[in-house]
Amino acid sequence: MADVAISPPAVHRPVTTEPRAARIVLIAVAVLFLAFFLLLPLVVVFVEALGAGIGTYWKALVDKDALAAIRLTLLVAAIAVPANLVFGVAASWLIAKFEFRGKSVLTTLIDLPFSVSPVTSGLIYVLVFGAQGLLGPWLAAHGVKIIFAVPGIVLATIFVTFPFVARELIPIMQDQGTEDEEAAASLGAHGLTTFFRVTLPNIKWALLYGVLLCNARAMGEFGAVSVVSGKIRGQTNTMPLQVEILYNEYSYVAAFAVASLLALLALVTLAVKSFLEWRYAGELAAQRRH
Amino acid sequence: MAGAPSLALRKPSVIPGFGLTLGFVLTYLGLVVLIPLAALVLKTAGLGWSGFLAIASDERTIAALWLSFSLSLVAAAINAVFGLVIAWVLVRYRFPGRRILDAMVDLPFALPTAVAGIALTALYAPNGWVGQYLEPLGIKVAYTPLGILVALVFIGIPFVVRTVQPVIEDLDSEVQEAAATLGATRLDTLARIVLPTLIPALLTGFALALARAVGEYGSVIFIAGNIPYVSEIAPLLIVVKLTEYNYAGATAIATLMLLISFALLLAINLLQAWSRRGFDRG
Amino acid sequence: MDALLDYDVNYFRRQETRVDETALSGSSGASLWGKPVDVRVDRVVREFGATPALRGVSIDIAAGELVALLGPSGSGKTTLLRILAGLDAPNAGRVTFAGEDALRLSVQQRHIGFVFQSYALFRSMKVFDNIAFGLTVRPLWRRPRKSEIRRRVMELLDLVQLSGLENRYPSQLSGGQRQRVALARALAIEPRMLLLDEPFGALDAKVRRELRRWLREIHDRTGHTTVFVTHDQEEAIELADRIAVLNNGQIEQVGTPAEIYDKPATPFVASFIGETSALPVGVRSGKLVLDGTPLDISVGGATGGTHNLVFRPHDVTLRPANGGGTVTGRVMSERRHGGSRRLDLEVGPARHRVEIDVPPETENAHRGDFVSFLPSRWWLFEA
Repeated sequence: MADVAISPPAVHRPVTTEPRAARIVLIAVAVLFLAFFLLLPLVVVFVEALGAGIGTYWKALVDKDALAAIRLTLLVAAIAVPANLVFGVAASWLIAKFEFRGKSVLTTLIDLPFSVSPVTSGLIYVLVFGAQGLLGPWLAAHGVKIIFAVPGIVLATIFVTFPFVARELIPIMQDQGTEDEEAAASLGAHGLTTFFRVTLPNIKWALLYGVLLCNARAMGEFGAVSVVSGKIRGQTNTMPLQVEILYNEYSYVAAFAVASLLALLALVTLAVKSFLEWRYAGELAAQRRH
Repeated sequence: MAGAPSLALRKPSVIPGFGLTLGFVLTYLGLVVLIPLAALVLKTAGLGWSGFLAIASDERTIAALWLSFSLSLVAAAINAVFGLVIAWVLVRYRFPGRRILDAMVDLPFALPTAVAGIALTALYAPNGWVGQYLEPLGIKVAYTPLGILVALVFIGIPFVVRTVQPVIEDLDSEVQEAAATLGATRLDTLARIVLPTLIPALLTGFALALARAVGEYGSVIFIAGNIPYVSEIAPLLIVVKLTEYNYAGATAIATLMLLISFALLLAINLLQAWSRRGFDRG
Repeated sequence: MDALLDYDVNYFRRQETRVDETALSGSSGASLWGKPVDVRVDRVVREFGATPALRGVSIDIAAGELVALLGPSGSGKTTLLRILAGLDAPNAGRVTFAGEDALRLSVQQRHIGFVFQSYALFRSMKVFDNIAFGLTVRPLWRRPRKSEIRRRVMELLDLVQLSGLENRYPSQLSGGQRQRVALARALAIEPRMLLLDEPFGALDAKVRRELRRWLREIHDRTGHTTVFVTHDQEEAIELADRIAVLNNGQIEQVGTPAEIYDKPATPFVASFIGETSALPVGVRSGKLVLDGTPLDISVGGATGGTHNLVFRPHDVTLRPANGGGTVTGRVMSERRHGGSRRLDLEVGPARHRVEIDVPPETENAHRGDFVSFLPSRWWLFEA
């Protein structure tokens, strides 16, 4: 039957797509915009960092203050991320698995730190713990230093990264409903057993995803931390603050060297994130819808 | 959830952990978020009306707030337009490098703001990669409000792309085909059928980008030049007041920013509810 | 249905003359606009990758005819409908509307009213704007005045019995109402042809039957050439002037419902339309032979080889058990089936299973009994 020699009709374009020329123009606009606004800044970091040679680059990284900043950044993230991880899991369990009054208010409150300027996030801790703050005199009398010290940095970091894990988990856990856990309970499983054996396997990729974003923000936070840190070299400088100080001292190469480490962190975060999205598209799809 | 209203705090459930998680979440939320934010409210209240108004009506404050909000609105608008194009291209077209482009959209989420700030400054400074070509044209970007705009566009783009993308993925092709059978050109269909479907998500993305831009600090201060009355953003003014130990001033500006932000977001929410009419019912 | 009966029969005739008066200048076929056209589909082939969806399909549809494309899912019926609409294009073959090459025309130029299975209503528009859409997207010089558009939409709303609902959004309508909005929207552009994809697929049985009758009435009034796709044989038989039965990318038979039902051309058609039982038989000296035993059925022409004797369960006559020349089987189960009793028989040593219908009061035809019968109406197909 297929041998009917009838001239095939003109090339058919599906009605739900744009003409070829329009497609090319739109792709060009998107590519140029992203190249200009996103790719170029990333490239310039590495070019500036390595511009004076690998030796200078290395020297800038092993500088005493730079190393102290790296150590402090890791320390802060090592406290803030697990703290918010535990909170995120608890909050999403609460919101996804139970119906109770005030749930929507609670959800809004969890998102609140996203709508506060990082500078304000730092400011509120100064107002509580600073020398003139609510608890300032009491803290001074007992010799506890929070503002312009590591505890303040940790607190401010926890605040700005507060919603990350919960936000990733809540939609996916709501999507999965409560049947699995109810089945586990009916089989006699206890709370923690249910969580580790039933719930966690369902949410592990979303959890990792949330932790990843939380960590990137924790290590890179600048505004909130700069308000509470006091920027004491070698003591209360995180990597982003070290970048600022070096930059303001016109030590461009050193500033970009430290910045390149943070940029690398960003690239790794994006790579893992893309991998997770590609590999576990189905499991992560739920949160896209929210 | 149907049935007679109950006085119970929650619906009964066999799943354990309600009391434990509720207690922990409220304590943690209270200590980390609510009490510190309450301190802001308390401090503002302590200023009294006259004290608050004195700071709020200060010319430098007004200039900084105006700069922050107007530039943020412009940046969010630019992001809405280009974010829509990017999301459309990423979802609807297949071309080499699409995956990398898609991954790159999240860069502003992952790249620390200070790094973005010095990178953008290096690019747009008069002797920078881009700046050197703009300088002869008389366009100054770094150390001007234009530079602030560039930084705000940078940090806002993923918000629009990521909120619009899933909606484009879910677009109903039969509806577009229906429009074509009724005689609509592709452009008609896009403008009259597709765009209205995307508007609510686009507004959400716009609002998120706006909220982020208003509070943004790290990526802006390097490129802004920070000249009072000209290129000094509101978050920077808070920091300036703090370094002057002017806690009252810092607090008042922070509160003003929050109030204006919430008012704007409320307006956008209302706009969104209006644009969604007919969508969610049934 | 009363509103429908009051409906002004001359409405569409008036519309046609109006169209002619305004001298619509479409890029082609303008003179045909709004008038029903005849359609010729000639050896159309459509392949998706390596998989053929249509393998050389031909069918002629007369102007004003109501034709059903009937077939199981994957038979290619929706692909054919989409090719007629211009939403898809064949790899080879011709499609003409009133003798004019339709494949050269874009979807927009074809002026075809298409009703989608999902209705594909515009969610962001009210019912009024949905129906008016096809008129409001016309280029300025062909666009009717606002008042004219309003008048036409109101008339169409009346036609589909949805007057008063013009300010609702689609999400506020029931399934049946959405269906009717979709039809009104398609009719608004004064289409040359109406295409419907599983028009009643998403509705419950009662609404479906109502709308079926109503669609037939609308068709009879407006006289559009209408093609609809369905997998429901009852729907096709009740509604269509002619039915094209598709299977595996090919048309097995085209004919009136009676022809399709009474003279199926292929075993597929026989089994897809109505219920059938089948027995493998041979032919020896002009008689059918079942398992070596000749039956009292004479055939002219057919010779040797194996054939399939196909008949409907209700087209059988019971015979005395020991008469010979009959099909004899043991009742394995019985159940009520409409006005008769349906027996599930196991026939002969090869245990062929067939179903036959007998009057409910028939004696000696219960589980375990042996029953003899001959088909009163049957078809013989090559095995």
